[in-house]
Amino acid sequence: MQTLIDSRMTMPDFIAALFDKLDLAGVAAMTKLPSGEKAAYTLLTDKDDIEDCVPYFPAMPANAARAVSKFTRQAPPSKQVAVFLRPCELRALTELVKIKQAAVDNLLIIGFDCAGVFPFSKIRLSDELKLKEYREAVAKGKNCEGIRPVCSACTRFVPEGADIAISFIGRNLDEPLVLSFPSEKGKEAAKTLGLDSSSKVEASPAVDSLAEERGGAEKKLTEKIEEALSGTDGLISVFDKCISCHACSHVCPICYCKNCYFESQTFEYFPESYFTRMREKGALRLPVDRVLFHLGRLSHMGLSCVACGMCEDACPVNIPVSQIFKTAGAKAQALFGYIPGKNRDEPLPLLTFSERELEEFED
Amino acid sequence: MPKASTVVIYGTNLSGYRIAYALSKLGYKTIMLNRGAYVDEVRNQVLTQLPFDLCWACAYAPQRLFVGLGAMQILYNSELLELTGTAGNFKAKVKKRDPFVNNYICAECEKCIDACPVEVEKNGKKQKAVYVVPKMFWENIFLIDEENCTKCGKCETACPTGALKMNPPVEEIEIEAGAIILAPEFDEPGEAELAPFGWGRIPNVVKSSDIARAALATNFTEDSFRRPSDGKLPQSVAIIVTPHFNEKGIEYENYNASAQAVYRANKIKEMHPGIDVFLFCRDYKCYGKGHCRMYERAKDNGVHIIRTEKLALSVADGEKNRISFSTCSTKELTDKKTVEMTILITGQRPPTAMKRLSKICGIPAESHGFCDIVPFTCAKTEVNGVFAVGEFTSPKGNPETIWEGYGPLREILSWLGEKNVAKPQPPVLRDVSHEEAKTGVFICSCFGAFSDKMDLESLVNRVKMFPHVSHAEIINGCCTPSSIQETAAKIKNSGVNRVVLAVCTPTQKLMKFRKTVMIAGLNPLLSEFLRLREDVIQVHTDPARMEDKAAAMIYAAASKLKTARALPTLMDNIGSSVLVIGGGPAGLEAARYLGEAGYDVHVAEKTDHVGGMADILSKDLEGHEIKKYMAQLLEDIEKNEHITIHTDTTVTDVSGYAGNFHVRFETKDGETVEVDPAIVIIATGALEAKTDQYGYGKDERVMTQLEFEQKLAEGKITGGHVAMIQCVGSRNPKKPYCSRICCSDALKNALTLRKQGIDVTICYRDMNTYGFKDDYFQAALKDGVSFLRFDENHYPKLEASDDALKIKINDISDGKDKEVVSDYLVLATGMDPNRENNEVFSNLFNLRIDDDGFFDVESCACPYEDASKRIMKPFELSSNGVFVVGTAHSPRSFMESVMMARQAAGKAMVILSSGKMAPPNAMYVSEVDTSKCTGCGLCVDVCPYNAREIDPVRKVAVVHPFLCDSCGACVVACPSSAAFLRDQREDQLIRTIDGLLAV
Repeated sequence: MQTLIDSRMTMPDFIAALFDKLDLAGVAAMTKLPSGEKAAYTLLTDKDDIEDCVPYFPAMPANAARAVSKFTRQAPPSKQVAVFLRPCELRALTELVKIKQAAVDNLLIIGFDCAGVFPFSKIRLSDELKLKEYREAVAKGKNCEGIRPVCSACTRFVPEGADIAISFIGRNLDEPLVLSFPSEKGKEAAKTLGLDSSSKVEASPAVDSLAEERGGAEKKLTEKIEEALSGTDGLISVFDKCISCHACSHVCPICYCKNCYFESQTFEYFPESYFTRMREKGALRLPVDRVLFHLGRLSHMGLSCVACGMCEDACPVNIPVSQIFKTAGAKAQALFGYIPGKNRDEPLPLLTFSERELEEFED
Repeated sequence: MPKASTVVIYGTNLSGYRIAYALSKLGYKTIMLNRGAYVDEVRNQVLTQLPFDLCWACAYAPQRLFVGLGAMQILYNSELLELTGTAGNFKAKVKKRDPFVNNYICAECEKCIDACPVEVEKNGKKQKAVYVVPKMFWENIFLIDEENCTKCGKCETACPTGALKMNPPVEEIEIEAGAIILAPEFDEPGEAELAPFGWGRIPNVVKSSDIARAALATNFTEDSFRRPSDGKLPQSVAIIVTPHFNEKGIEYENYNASAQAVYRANKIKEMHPGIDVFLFCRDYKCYGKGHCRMYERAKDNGVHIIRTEKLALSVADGEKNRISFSTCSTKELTDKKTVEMTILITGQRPPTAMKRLSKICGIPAESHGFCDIVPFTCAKTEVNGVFAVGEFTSPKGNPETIWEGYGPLREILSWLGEKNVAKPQPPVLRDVSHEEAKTGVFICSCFGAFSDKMDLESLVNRVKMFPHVSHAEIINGCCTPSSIQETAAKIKNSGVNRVVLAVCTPTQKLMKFRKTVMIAGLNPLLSEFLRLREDVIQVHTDPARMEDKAAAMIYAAASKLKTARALPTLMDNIGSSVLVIGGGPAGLEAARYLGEAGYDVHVAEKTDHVGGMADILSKDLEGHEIKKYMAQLLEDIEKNEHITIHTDTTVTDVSGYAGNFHVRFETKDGETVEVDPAIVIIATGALEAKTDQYGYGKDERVMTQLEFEQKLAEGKITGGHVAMIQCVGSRNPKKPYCSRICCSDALKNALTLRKQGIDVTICYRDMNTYGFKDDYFQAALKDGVSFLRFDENHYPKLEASDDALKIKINDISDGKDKEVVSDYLVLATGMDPNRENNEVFSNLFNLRIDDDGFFDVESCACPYEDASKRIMKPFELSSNGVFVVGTAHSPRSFMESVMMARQAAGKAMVILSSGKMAPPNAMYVSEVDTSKCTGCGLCVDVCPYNAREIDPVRKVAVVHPFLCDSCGACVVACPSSAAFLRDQREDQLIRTIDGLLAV
């Protein structure tokens, strides 16, 4: 358990202090859009804009790891950038680092407890009532009604691998921030920010109660999905609605291929091949390879899935994609004893080889 | 008179093949005299010395290719009759008789067998007078049973290719040769030599080589291990290392006989744990890489290893074997074991060819009856221009024999005239990139053999209707010179730019098919070869099903080819210099060899002088003058202008790959030297092991063998009693290897001491006197050296006082406790790998370190011990261009280190001489679609050949085709489908599968 301290700074103070005391190229966080209704992940370089920063606004228009990947992939930024990330975004970033699609050099990673986000279409900045409910849920350590299904079943809501971690659960969002500094980089920043001798704060019991509630929800979700997906028939019926728009793969933070295999010419068959298939099956739904796409993506991404919920949010036909990935992913990950997003130095399971493994699957 | 350029090789041992191969590469023709009627009739040791149940055929496989290229000629049923002239201008009179069937044009259609009217019983099976010796590695040999052949001539008439000649005449020819290589096959002990063990006389006594041959055919599956008398699984087995017990002079132990015994024991135990296995040997001589580990495993497996001086074999209960052996105390055959089967691990006999060859060539035999070799040379006999290699010169193992072929190359070349083999120019290929895909299907009838089995006409008509096929026809064949030309012309005339060849199998004839396509002006990437015989005709009986399957395969291949793309074979120029790291004897020997061959050599030495450990050595066990040799070596190095010595250097950076390395090293003064070697030879040596046992370091009467040798040389040991303890701190689970040299060193010093009248006691576990070194053990016994043998679990104890060193030992030869009072205690501490050094170079050159801390064989191109396919492959085909020689590789003696250096240098010379290098897999390499590559590096991590890296600027993966082995690991790892194999692109694979399902 990291030592928690009272920073005596509210969120706006904290961001201002980052700009004032640390030599930053900028801050990346959720920021109000001019319309005033929605927010988006934004890279800010001017301190004057920080009043629009709303890091805890419970929405995820895109997994921020994707954004961080954009400005770190080819080369790390020349000057330090402070990035606000939700735990699942941080996990996604860790996975991207492993596949060299992002770098954390020169990033000051600020993670915060996450009480979940609402489906993007369901939340506006002006929706005071909903936001009030959300604040109350955070303070009590309870699931807020209406958040993404995977969020309400997420047990990894405390940041892992951040330089500075903000403890929200069980506290009031407007109060001064309770911080911890898990990394060397974070401890250094604490010194510069003058926070190294601040008074200690007790951990909130709400963290545990939320964890318990989420754990129960996770179990239920798993059971529900396993039942729905059982057998080939289950698989086909769940994905029956799919319109092959591939939006789920476009928003996935881990899906990093430049040119998706499923959108390549590989599956553009010779015309007569369709007739061959039709002859064998009696009928052929077009376009083909719908379930194959999802199974392919599961096999490609399952081991690294951080269950952020983006795919499900983007699905126009309400397939519980994220819940499926979370459930199947957890099983595959358990097989290799792998926890995605846990440790940047842990290699991806498919890159390691030991002579004796997975013997239960041998003949 | 100008020198002749052809080299005659007498015999077919592995060294001979290796020399033929290397000389072909260097541009010289070789003529090999095979005494048998076919490739393996007179057996070289390949299949009889099989500790690893491997086929080893790849060691002699390349000859086919070189025969095809005209660089090599093999005369069968041949014998050397007379040798006149001198080095550079020999005249060899040779008798030969061509084989009945010329393998190079035989289509293996078996029409001759069908035509033969004679049928006789052979080994319980019916056999025609023309018959096949199946699968001498990948080819079938057709022979005529002359005893029963009626000479009716039907086979000759039936042969569609003219390959069969019923009556090849015996001819005498004269060959002008620059050099002669004597490489006769080894002589395996037969019934007479193995009389004490009852082989051939007592039931259920078999040679290990018999099992190896049987095991090879069945891959040592459970069924292959049966006792001969009733085909039952024996419940108890004895394994006897016969050279240990046979009369002196009958057979000699090669380097891995003991290891072979434990290997066989382990294999039996691991497959059938219930079988009792007793291994009888005098000493366990396990000095090869990993051999001690095998011994430890045998103990874990419960193999009973019985060390005994004497044994005898008799029949018990009709089918069982009774082995009587001497116990410790009596030296009489008082102990007995009855087993159901006995396996003999045999040695090698002095070559029977020696006498004749001695007479013909004027070369002497050494005292054991093997061919005598001039000391410190590779294969040089006393007659200039006549070389002797392999098991002809001493008992040897397969890997040693193969590598030995490279040793004498430079000296052979010095007797040869101008090159007489030109590399053939590859055909010019047509650019078809702008043409629409037009696929032609050519179905082989195998000169009528396939059309007898299925309706090819109907198949052709069906294929013509396929959407991606624009042309289809039947061909006679494309495996004989004329049919290759015919088919190539057909392809050309049809105007197609993609080719499907439905033939027998590319496993046998891949190169011929590629050649056919190339003669037709097409890149082989635009072709597919289908196994009409293997996949269709031989697996189905119903012609209709045959046709369906053939059609599906053709449909799939044609679909696949639609998007095939032609890409050229890459070629790389390679440098001409060599970097030798380490200036010890091995490094310097390699440098001299290559320097004298005219290549620039840089020697990087860490210390301030070259010479290494050799400073301390004066003579070896056999009495070779090391000091004199070293003085000559240093002088030669000094005066050779191609060799540059850099002392006080540290290698700091390495980049590049085989043929084009870039190495940077720094001198003590901070100066940076950069070299671009094509080949790197690592000769960084090993260290003398130290110990803290027996008061070493505290009591100056206790010293290591090396320290003692120096004292002895300085004349400081003048009297008293010297005790020696062998295997101090080694051959235990902590350090499970034998340092190979300690027993020889102990014997050498003991014999010197005895000459001065000084008493010596050697306390030992196993006397590791391999090969001819056993003579010195016998001499030491005769000279009165006392030998006390202790058990590995009960090492001698030392009680030291100011007056004397008392060594208490339990002598297992009589079971009694004994005490040796001595003035000196000499410890055989053996060798330690230079771990720190090895670590550095393993990182720089990406080499693996083995379990004992020496350089691993798998990762370097000098696989002395490892008998995998790699022994063949890295040779001419690039690999990583790094050779580890001498004690950096594994413990070995001075002479062995120096020979290894010459062999690696010879191999390096073959590579360097080409000046150019194609990737090992020509155009068949993996590639990157940069538009898809995200630079994630997963392919880099999984590539076992280090053939991929991420371009630091473009952030995409790049392939080094010279390292790529086309294994496809990158293709599997790449999540973006950016990695692909040129001949198996992803869309092509999908199309193939789709195509197979379509028909």
